[in-house]
Amino acid sequence: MSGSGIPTWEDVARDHGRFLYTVAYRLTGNSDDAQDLVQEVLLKVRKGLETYQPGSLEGWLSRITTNTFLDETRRRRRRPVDRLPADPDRVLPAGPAADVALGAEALPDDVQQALGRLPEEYRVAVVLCDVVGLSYQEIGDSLDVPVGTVRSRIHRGRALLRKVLA
Amino acid sequence: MRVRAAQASGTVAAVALVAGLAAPASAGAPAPLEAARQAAEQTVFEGVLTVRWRDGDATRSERLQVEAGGGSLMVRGANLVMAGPEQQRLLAHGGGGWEQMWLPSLAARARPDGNAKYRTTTPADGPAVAGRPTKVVEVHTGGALLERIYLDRETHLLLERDQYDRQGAIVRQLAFESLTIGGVAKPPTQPRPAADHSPKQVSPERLPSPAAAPERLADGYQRLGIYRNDSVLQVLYSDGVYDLSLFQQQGRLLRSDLPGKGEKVSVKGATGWRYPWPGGQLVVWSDGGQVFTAVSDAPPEQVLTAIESLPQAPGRELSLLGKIRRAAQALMEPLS
Amino acid sequence: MSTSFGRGRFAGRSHLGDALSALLDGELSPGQQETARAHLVGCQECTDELSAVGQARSWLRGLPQVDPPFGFYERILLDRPVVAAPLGVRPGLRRRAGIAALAAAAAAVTVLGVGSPAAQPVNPSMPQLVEAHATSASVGADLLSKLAPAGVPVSFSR
Repeated sequence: MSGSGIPTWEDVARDHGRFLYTVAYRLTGNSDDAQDLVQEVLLKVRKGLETYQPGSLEGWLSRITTNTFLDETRRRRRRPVDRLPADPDRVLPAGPAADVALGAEALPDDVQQALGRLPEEYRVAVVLCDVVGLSYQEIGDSLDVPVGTVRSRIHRGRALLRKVLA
Repeated sequence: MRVRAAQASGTVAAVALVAGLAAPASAGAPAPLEAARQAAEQTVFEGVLTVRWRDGDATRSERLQVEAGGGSLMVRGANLVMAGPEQQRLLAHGGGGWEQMWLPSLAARARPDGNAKYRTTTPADGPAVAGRPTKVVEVHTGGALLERIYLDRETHLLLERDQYDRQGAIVRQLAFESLTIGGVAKPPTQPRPAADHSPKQVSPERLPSPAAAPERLADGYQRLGIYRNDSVLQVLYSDGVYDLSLFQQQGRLLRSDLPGKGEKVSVKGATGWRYPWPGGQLVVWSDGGQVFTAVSDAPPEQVLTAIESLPQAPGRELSLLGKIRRAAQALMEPLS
Repeated sequence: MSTSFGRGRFAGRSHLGDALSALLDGELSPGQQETARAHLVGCQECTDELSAVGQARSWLRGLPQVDPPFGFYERILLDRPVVAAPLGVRPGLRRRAGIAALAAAAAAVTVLGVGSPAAQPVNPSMPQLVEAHATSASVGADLLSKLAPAGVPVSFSR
């Protein structure tokens, strides 16, 4: 760690590598794309460190990661993936409420797969909230959207996820 | 020996073939292989070739179309491979452009006399392959049967080649399913390569250290040439029947970079990984800051024996086990 | 009772909608929390919806950390890549760097004076080496035995 309190990009890679990769993996759903995303992010981190204001480093990293991810998914042509409708009318669990209350099991791989089926905007919101642990305000700042939009996307993302994993 | 001059082979070729089978060739491949070589270079034919090879517990196979004539031979699989006159070699990956792989100007020493290491049987009448009668030749080494080679009785073209393991099971097979001799509609023409991937020749005196390129490896492998393609060095060896390329690159080998299903082997005390490919074996390991990849059509035990005989890389760090052994030896010495 | 939360879509009656998630995430003021809880007492739909999103939230929060493939960061810290591969390139293509491309990458890193060449991870491109062997070893030998196998692209499963 350099004396000024601003980390070097190697510090970031070493200390936050696992975190970065986790976020990248949850967003992209596969190892190859996650590696690419992390590399891109570290490149931006290298450039951005000069203007980095000490604060929530993980928040800052998350912002770069999700924005890089979103830029890339917008740029690249979508593969024909089974996509869920972006606007569910009313979301209720398909099965009886009983097993929901019992805390049904869901394997991480299944959850990851379900995450992959969410539209990107929902996926990012849900990852930033439940995987990274940012507040709605922080997420709104990262994505440059109002808190109300953040809340709505998180809610719908979770609801869709639950529906898929019924 | 009846010479079918009316068949596609030219008179000169026919005479050469007769000579090839009648007397041992000068230092080089055993006569039957030499005859097959000439036939492949001179016969006009087209056919479908099946390649089978063992991959772990499974046997994999692929079919290839082969056409030859006018001094060229073309193999059509998912890759296109072409041998042109004067040692031209071209390759095109499915959907890609032609790449120059070898140039006539690249020299290689003649192969050593394979008869020193291998015993080949007198050609005997063999079964029909692709509907054509054959002569079968067996290749033995150290008392074990290594290969059976089936040559076309008329042209001496190689019709089938089977390699066996110690238990007598076939580990690799190359065999024509169907074959037409003569009258290929359009003999393959030499395409213009879009890229040059041919290596440069390196003379032994100018070998960059710490590269390893000994003149000989264990078991009769002699060095034919040293070539360099960017930062990859290739040392080509042959024992008269099999060839072995030793590739070297400076750097570290990361296990995570290697494909998953390699078989762990031991190379000079270090861990290496062995992978089969349709034409043989590949073994990759690292030593002294270099990554080595050996590629060969020799049976696996031969490949391992040959690479085991490479000189120790300079500056190689002993593994922890090696250090313990060395310390133990140092302790034991005064007592012995 | 109508609320100022996001409106649910049930005609004529308002439900908590995304306020449920906000409730779970502690993003409601104490006053709003009270109102929400009061609504839940009398509303089965919202209670069910709360269970659903609560379950999803719990699954997501239970996801483990993921480690990159072994050596990923060592490679990054040694390589200090100048160019990152773009997302969306098919993994097969990305990993199939030709001998020349690998060498160029290694040379670029060396020129930058980053680490000694021997320390750089090197990934031998096996298909390319096999092709180089097959084409060179076929010179002066039987073309069918030595060269034909190169017609089959080498693919080692990972």
